[in-house]
Amino acid sequence: MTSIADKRRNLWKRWLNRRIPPVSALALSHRNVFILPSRTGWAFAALLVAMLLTAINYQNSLIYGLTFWLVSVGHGTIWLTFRNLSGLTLSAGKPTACFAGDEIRLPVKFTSGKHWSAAISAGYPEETQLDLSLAPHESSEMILTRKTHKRGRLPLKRIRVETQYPFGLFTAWSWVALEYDVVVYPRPDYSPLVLSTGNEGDILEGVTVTQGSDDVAGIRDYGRGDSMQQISWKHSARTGDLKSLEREQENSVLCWLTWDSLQGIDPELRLSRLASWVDQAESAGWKYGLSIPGNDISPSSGHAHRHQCLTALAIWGQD
Amino acid sequence: MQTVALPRQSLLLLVLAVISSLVPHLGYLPVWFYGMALFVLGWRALVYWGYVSFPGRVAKTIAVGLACAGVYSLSGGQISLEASSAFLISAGVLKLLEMANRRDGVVVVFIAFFIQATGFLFQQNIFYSIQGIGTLVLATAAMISTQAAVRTGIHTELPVFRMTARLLFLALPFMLIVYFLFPRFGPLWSVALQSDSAMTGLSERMQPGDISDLSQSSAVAFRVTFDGKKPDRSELYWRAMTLDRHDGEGWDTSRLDQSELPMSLPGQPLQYRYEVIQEPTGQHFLFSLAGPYSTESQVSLTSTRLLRYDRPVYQRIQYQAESAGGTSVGPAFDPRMMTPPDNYLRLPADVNPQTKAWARELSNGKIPTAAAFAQAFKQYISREPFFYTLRPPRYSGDDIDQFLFAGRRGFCEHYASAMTFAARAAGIPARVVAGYQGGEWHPDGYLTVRQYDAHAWVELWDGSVWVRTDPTAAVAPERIEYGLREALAEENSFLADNLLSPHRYQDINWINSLRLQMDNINYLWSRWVLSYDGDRQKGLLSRWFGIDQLLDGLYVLAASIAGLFIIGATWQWWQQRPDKVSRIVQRWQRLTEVATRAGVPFDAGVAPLSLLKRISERYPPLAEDSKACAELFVRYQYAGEGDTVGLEKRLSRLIRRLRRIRPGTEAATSRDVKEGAV
Repeated sequence: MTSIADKRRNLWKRWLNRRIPPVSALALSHRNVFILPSRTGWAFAALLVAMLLTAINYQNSLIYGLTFWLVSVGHGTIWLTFRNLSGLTLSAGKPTACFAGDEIRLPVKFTSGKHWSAAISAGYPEETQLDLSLAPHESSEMILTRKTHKRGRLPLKRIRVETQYPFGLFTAWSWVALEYDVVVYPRPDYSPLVLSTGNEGDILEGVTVTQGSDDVAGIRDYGRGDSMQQISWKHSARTGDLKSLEREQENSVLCWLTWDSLQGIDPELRLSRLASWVDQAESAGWKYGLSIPGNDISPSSGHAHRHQCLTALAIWGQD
Repeated sequence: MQTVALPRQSLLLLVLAVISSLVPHLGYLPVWFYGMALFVLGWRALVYWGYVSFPGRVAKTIAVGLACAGVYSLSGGQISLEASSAFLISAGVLKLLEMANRRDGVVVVFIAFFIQATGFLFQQNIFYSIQGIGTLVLATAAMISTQAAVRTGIHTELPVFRMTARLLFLALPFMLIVYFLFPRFGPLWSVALQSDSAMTGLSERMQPGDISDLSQSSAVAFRVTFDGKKPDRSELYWRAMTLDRHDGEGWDTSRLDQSELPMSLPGQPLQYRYEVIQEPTGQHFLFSLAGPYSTESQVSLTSTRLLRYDRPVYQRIQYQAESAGGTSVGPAFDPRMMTPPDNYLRLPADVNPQTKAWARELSNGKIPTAAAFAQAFKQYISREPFFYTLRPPRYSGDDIDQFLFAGRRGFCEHYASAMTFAARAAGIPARVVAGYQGGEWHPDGYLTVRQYDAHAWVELWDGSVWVRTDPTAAVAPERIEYGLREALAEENSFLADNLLSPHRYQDINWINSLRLQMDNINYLWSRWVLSYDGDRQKGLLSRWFGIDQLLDGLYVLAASIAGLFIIGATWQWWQQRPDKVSRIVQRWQRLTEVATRAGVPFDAGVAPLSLLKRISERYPPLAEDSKACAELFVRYQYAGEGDTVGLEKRLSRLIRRLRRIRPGTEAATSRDVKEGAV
């Protein structure tokens, strides 16, 4: 039974992927909007049948008129409901990566077309759901959140965009697959960094190499990846641009976080532990390098470096 | 479905929609209902302002119980149309109290639609039709505003009424097409729920006082439009039923009135052609002048020469008829249906002995001719001090004796009853005929007959035909010549119970002309809209489209719907056509394609200007066009001077020329050169 259901679901997914391929921005139109009567719509149809029977049995022209007007209204709402959704553009924003198990915040920009996009609800099924109404040519950036479960590239999940406006008789909906270029870091498994001195350069588990030196060698422009501690606030305030201190030896501590130092544990747990170390080393302000099978990242520090390391951990074994 | 709270705007609209849908029902709803409605609305308003909370389960149960009891008391345990709609209305009003979320709102809107639809069973004139449109607008707006409600997120105020107007307006053409073309067939099953109180009019039994009661009403009974010759006022005897069974108190309709025989000509030439729009009566009888003939499919003839509808008239109907007119009505044309004359001589024993004796004396014991009897009876009436009055004394026991020889005051039914009785006593077959006499000629040429024109007269059998004779004419000729109002002018009892009726104030000019205007609007409304039925539809289809078959009508319906779809699709395409800017982008795309095929060397993603330059380098004859394009493009792109039309034209021209060039041909063909030189 399940296998048939699964097969059907797969077939549906494949068809949907052909019909509405994953993209970074999608304008809704007749190509990708579905429309069917809602439950209210069926109830309305039943009401109209009752009214029509009354009109026929009592031979009443005015009831005929009212009934047909409502029939016609129902018929017109097919188009109006569709139009309410069509013309709406969804585009993926730039999300920030998160750790597995956290909620990832995915920005979506909704832009309406020539018409109102009224009372639209959008969201990942069984997760966040939000409603919005946009005047013509209005746009609004909203955050959809999704629970993450596993490290790696964020798996594709379709956003259901739905509306019943204006009359609630029909549901127009679409399944939009927005591609986000974002990875989910391994869930950090906290264990303290064990420091042990070793030979220079290739020391396991983070090693003190040099004692800190505060000698300032000079001032330079702020570069991306410079940590907060490096910024010279005094100079920055004076010049109006961010300036960083150039130290003789920028980081007082240099360490290598290596795969091999965590022998005998499950690879996923290793990745988690390494992720936790990356965070610890980063917040301590050290220089750290990462060495995992197939990927060595030379020591450095800063947000970009951290992201690089965590990304390497996230996609390890997945490419 | 998640629950969505109703926004305040929709609460207001929902309440207004339900109130509006109640308007046509106000006439018959009992007093307790208004109390309930006020209570519910008051409670809901307090909830709205936050003073009290929604009713609990107990309160709701009590409310529903009370409403059911009220409806039961209204109907007396019988299912009637009023009771059923009162039940529906109570449900709708109570739902107002309870409504909190979107689903409730939708239910209320649906109920409002249905209440309005049933309201049309009670009220159909043009004002209620306009009021019905009001309900439609309010309920539609309420529905839209419930749908506009959102749970979270951004919510801009939606233009609810603009959407309502658009939706209803958009729906209009389709509605009209379906309205005119939807096949109108008869009732699917006989409707058990009938409204009786909504219908005033003649009843199957006539007792003294019935017609005088009827004359208190100025409701329209029917309207007639004559095609060609119009009869004199004194000829306007609209026959509805014959009453031939007397039990000492009242007269009952003849069983022969129920016979349904195929239509046949009356024998005399047909003089008058007319069309009747008849208000509901709840009975089979139709109205016609003497000697009627009709070709309508649902109309048949009775052996008393009346027109009869094939089912009770519960809705307004329209029919065409012709009549010979005159005072005589032919005999039953089918000899087998002939009634033995003694049927029309039968009188209960032991009642009104004085009248019986008097009638026999009137002709010295011999059976007189009908004409002689009529003359003698009328002479007696005009000789003695008889009065025509709406306020006769109550006669009891031998009522005709008392009327003829003591009271001498009576309304038409007294005179007709007495004359028929006396005729039978004298040996002349006689029957009472009930119907309407006269009517009001509207300046536009049609006749409106109202309930106060109800009348009863007599038909006497003269041996070969039934002859009409009206004893009322002997006592109050102005009733026949001018109408009831004039006949009662002295007594001043015309519509005495209806102080506000505009019919009372026909002397005041502006009231009267306003009243006639209204009447005219309603007449046109009934004639062209309300009485649109199967026969009317057939006529319309064959006149406009030459269609005589129902099936062909369905084809027209299908074709019209298809036509509307095509119009809609075209409109949709027009709405979605690319705007000017994106048309230029399309042109550029096309240009790069054509340029590639023509062998212009360029890389993907080359800037537009350098593409144009490459083209002119490769094909010098096109240099001029390329340059023009480049100039326009620069101006459009950088100076913000958008001659988009010119640019588009130039680009198209360039594309056309470039397309003629085959890759491999060096430079250009002679034709291109020539064109380029122009």
